[in-house]
Amino acid sequence: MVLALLLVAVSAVAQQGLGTLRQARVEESKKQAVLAAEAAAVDAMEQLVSDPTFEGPVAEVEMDIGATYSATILNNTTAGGGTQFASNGAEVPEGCAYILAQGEMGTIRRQVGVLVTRGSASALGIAVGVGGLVDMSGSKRIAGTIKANGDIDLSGSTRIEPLDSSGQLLSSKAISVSGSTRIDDTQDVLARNGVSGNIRGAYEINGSDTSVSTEPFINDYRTTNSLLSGEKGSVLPNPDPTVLLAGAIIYDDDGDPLTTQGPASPDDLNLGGQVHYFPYGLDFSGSSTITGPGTVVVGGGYPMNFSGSSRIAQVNLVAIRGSYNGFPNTPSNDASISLSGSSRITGLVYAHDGVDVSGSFRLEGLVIAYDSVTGNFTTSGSTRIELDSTVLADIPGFEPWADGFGGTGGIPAGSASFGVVSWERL
Amino acid sequence: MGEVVKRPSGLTVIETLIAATLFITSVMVLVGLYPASARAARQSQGHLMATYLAEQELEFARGRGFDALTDFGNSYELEVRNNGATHEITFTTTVTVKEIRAGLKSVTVTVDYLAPDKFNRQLKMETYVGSTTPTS
Repeated sequence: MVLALLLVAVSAVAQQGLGTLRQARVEESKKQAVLAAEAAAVDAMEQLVSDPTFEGPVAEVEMDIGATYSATILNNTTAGGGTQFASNGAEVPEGCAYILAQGEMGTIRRQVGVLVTRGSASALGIAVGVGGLVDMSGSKRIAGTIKANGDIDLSGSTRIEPLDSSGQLLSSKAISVSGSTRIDDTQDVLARNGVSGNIRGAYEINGSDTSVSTEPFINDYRTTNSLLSGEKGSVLPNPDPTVLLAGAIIYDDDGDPLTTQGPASPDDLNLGGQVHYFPYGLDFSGSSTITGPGTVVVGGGYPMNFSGSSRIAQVNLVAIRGSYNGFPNTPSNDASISLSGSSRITGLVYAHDGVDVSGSFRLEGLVIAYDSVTGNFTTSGSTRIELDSTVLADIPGFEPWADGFGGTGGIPAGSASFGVVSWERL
Repeated sequence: MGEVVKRPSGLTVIETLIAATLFITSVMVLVGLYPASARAARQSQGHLMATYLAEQELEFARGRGFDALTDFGNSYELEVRNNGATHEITFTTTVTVKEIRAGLKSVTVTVDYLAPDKFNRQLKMETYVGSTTPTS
């Protein structure tokens, strides 16, 4: 009897020690199985990013550590599919894809279910997108993100406000501020070559950023809004001139015939919803009014100049290097926009070779200065810009960028072609 | 009639000795097993801590973001308590990043530590991080 009791005690003590050790190893295997399942989900997401029509499955993969994973995908991103249900009963709304990923470590299996949606992260919220540098002085208030491939220099009072969750300062080079600078607490200030100056607010200030947010805009004059294999970031809009000018009303300095070279200086313009093309540039002076909706284009690398007080309602200003119908024959490569005096614009301000604003400037829309060397955005005086990216949808040749810059279908590839709706360990 | 010899009740010396030997042996085994069991418990605690550290390092790695993801390592000195006794264990973590293909990287965490049984132990965990992986 005593012996039996002792045996029980001995085995209990032995069991306790060995049991906890076994439990610890099981715990490790459980976690590794979950990690393998998450790896499967990540693998599947990357394949979806590369090919939005990808329907899986992700065949079994053995990881270095010995765990294995696989995944099935219910891709319901094609319009018109209605709500569908995954094999585990998960509801997959139209426009979404569901990844059912599983990982195995030894005999332990774990699953992860990920619901992703296309396009949720597509709105980049760029109020000022610049291939060169940004140099803004004076008082300014920007609702939306400022992003530049070059340096961003802000002097005077600066306030960046979020609009639709976008109000960041992003530079692929350096950011320098002086004067009072305030960023919303939810927004970031990110640069690759340093951030200097005193910035109030901001969720994160990082002068050594390497994320896709500060990846330079792709501005190699491609006319498509898509990335080549291996590219990251987003494509700055660049309209195909033949599309932009297909139905344009064409001017020279004195009307037909289109032979005289020299900038046109028209009186007030009523655009009547059309594209008006000035192949030799455009000079507006005095108190001019351009009545929209519509688009004013200068081509051939000639500038567009406004001086005096300009009220430009629902009008897009576009200065491109490209020529049309064979003229002009010698582009000057100064496709710039210059606004001096007081300017109030609703629409897109777009130039291949830079936008320069002096005096009071009010814009509802967005500014794009395209070229890496000459595509600079400079302002002095009081500036207020409020992002309205919907203007891109109404300009011929810009439609591919209406939902965002870069990636397939306007989705900024490299950042988040698919937004994660839910990520669950099952 | 022969005389009946009545055997006295109780145990003989031999029986008592055997019983005592068995009892003492069992008690010794029990006493001997107890530290071994406690050691195993400490070992399992060390293993669990290594598991949690590996998981923590993987979260750090994810938080760095895909582009900034490179090899890194850390050292942690942590206390393991068992039955009132305290042991300090030094854990060394090594995070190794390997590109699987464009947009997909493998992240392996290796945790090395000197276990309470004075043996060097190692634990490894691995996952993948993609260019679209949420960082939190």
